[in-house]
Amino acid sequence: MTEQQTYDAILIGAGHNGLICASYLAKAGKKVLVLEAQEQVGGAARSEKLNGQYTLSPCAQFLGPLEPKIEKDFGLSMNKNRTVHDSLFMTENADPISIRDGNLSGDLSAKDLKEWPAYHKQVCEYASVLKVLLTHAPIDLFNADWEDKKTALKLGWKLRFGLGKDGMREFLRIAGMNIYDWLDERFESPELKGAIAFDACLGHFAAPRSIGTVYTYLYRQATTASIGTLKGGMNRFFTLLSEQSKKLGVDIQTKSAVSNVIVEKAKAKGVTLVDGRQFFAPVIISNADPKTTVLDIVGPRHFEADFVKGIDNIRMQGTTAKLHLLLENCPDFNGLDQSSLTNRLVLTDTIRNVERAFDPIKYGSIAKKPLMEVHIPTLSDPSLAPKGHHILSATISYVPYKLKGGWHAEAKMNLRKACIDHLALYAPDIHRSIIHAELYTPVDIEKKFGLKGGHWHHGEMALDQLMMMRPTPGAAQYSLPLDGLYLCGAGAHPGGSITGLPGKLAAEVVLSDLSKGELS
Amino acid sequence: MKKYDAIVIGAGHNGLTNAAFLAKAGLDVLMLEKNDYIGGAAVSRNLHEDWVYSNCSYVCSLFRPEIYRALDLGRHGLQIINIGGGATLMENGDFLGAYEDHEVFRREIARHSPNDVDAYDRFNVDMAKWCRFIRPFLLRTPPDPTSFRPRDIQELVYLAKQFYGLGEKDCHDFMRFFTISVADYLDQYFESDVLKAHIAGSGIIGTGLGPKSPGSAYVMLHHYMGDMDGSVGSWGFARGGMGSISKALASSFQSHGGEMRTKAGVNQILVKNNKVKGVVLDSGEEIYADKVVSNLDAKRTFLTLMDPKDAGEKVVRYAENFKIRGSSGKLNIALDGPIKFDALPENSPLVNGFVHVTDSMDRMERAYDDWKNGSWSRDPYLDMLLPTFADPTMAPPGKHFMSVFVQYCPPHLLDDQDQEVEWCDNKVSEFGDCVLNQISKYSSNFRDLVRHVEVRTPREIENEIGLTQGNIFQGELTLDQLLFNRPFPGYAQYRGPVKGMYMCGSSTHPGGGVMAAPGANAAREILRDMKAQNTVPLDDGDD
Repeated sequence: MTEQQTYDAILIGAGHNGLICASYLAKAGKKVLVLEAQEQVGGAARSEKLNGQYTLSPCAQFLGPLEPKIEKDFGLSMNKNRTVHDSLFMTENADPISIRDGNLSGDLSAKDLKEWPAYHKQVCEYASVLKVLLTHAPIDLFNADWEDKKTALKLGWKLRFGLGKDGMREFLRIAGMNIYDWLDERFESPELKGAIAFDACLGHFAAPRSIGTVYTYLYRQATTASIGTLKGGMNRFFTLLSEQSKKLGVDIQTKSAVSNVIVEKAKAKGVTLVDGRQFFAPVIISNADPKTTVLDIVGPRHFEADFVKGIDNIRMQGTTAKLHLLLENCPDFNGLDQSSLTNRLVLTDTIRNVERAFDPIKYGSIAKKPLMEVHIPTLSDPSLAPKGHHILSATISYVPYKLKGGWHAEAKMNLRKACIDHLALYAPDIHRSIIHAELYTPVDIEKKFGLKGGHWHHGEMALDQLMMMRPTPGAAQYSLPLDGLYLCGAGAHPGGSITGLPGKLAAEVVLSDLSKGELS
Repeated sequence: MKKYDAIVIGAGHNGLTNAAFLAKAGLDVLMLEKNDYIGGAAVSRNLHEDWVYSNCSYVCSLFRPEIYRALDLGRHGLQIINIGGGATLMENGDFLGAYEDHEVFRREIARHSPNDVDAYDRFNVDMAKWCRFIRPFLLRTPPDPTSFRPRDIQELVYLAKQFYGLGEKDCHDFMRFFTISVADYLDQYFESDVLKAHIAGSGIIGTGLGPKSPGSAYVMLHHYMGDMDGSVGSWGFARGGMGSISKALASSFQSHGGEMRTKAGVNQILVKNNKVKGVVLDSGEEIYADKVVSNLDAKRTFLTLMDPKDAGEKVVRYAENFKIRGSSGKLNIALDGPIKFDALPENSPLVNGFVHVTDSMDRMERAYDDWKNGSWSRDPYLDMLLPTFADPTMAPPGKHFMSVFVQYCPPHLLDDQDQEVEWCDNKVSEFGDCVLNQISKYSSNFRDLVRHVEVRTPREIENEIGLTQGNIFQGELTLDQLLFNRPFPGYAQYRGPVKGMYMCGSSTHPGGGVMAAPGANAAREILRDMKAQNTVPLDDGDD
């Protein structure tokens, strides 16, 4: 069966970036079709039901503040409905460290407590400079148009006059540094340094000593400064977002997996679905990661071999696993009262041990003691589970995608056990409360969300894969080297996390190309 | 009271180069050295009977040919002997031979991985491209990106022009080069683990980074620059040991009327009214000069030679945070006869070059993990060189000198509680034994040939030649300490925090290696400030 229908643009994948991109196009009067392989929209940020009665976020569990411009453009009022959580960093041998609204407290030295406000202020300043880069398309060094020049000027101004001469010098020094050295310059407590480094490295194939981790920390600050959840789960965001886009005329079709992009005369013309349906549009935008887009959906034969090599070389091996525990009662954590359990609980270690936890994944194995980011969403939102029951979702750091020997059932069982045992160090009775445990390794995340390597950010956010090099040089301004084909996911600038920025910026590029009449 | 035009502190090769260029310009220059021998880390010493040890630096690779010519070092007795060959010995008894003859090396690579033969040519072409691109910047002063002075803007425009000249694709490739790891970089070319390990060694030598650490690709490039130059700059031995370089530089300096004093350690740089006045020696003697140039590393210069009040709070903080990590050790060995590596064929020419024993990237990275955890590598990466095959003058007839550079060796050890522990003599000899064992695994006649061993950890190197933590580059070559950030932001143009004070060591741009470029660049800046005639050449682009 073939069905033909013509749109102005077709979006492949209804992740949040895809939906935001579609909405911007529709807002500009374009007729847009969004095709999603799964039954529901949301991609790796969606929430889903487990055992029928538990609502959990299988992959992304937190939502940073949505870019105010995007909120306003679509009247999403997301930030108002967000419950913001403080972070509590716990180690086995020291008192917890709390970071609340940018304020630090804990049993720390006077020097560290005194240093923190200045440090935090500096981080915020640098993050705001970074924001200029993140909210604009990457500057095209070789074909700079007026927009690129404007971005460069804005950035230069903010660097030189916003930060001042000394501030700019310091920014240029630390931007390429590793978080280990930077923290060493500022703080004494190995636990405090470990806590900050944990955040800097989470989701990346990087350890505190890897250069580029100051960047990832500033990126986190610029995009997810406060960590929150939505009442009713992440899907609330997607319900709102799809309602808004439908209002704008976006046609969202779920259970519509794209099998390939139709290319004619070196132009992307449309898509063929797995079920044989075909749709046509002069603009095809992929919210899938760049490898999946180029190698699987479009096919290498439509690109220069050199470009394909570049895509093939993108490093995107996920480093995080997810563990979800369904609990019949709320676990007791040693020394924590019920109210502090609503925090984001980070089970971390000294900075040297955070580094040590990373080392095994270089060789395809896992550290004995996992580092984890734990959250019990049901404490702030009981509607997610049956009465009295709870969900504990944990992100486990430094789990290799390529495990030596492969991710067979026994390896998964071992990791699950190691994680629960580690949790039991902090919550000794947790074993007894568990009704069900679900573990997603990077390989499971790859399968579940169609994300190559199971990498959160659709590609490592290393300095050599950022800005005008993201995902690769030659495809960094959202348009791929095939007429009519674009990227709008986290694999494009500025990168991962729920920011909506890649989607928004991609839409701007598409609209500008459409207005120039370059696409027909 | 006599007053010199300039005093240069520390007779390492950069100090000597700096002093020689200043003297050549007609200045009255005094060179001060704390040891009773000159050369710093570019030194040959008679440490065992008739053996001459190049006991710190062991190869002359990056030395700028322009400086060689400008200071007429050939006439002053410096002779460079080309190094050929080299091999990586493998755990399974095989080896990868880096033959000098290109065709032969291609065959050798094919023996391990046919696919990598062409990749190796492509790799070499790319590396040559980056080296050619970066070379002119070695003999230039980095511009200050925050400044609006015409000179800085002009230099930034020059850099941008050069950069754009690479073209779109190369430009992006080059940007990536600075922050990628050598492992990831080589993965783009090669399949063979042993070939990757053979090449990746130059990405870790002297640095506190592993082959999988982002940023290590630049360290490889830094080492490759020498390899790619023509005659003078190519990997070579200085005939008579590395000290010959220092001797030739000193001879050139003295031929221009320079004055040299050894056993004259400087205690403090004298400053008055924010202006340099001279120096005080350890003996208490005061010597006066308008310009004082420190060849010591940035930490030593600002934390010991200068009064914190003179250096200023900002500079002291920068100096404290300056990363100058001890990551290497060295064994200098006197051998009774030619060593035989079991894997290599009889009389193989490969022993004339660098012999390594780390045959996989994972082994190399694990060696780094050991260092991170505060111990020496249990399976160390060794860069072994026997200069006496090419230069018999360094040992009695038929005998050999063997230089073994060891990566990694920590500046402090860590105990179970992650507390830093200082080196003690027992630990030093344990470290030495670990290295000797490693060599014995690959050479069955080695043990019997050993006559004398000098074991050097970062502690020994620091104590003797005053390099903080024994870091061979006088500061890590990471992005935050390169170009306009080297040694500190705002102080990358060789000038110190007070008037008349300068830096000329490897802590400044373009960094470490027996390159002489920092010394030359600093001389150019000093002469510029004095409005004197410039004697320092730029890169002449001559391969």
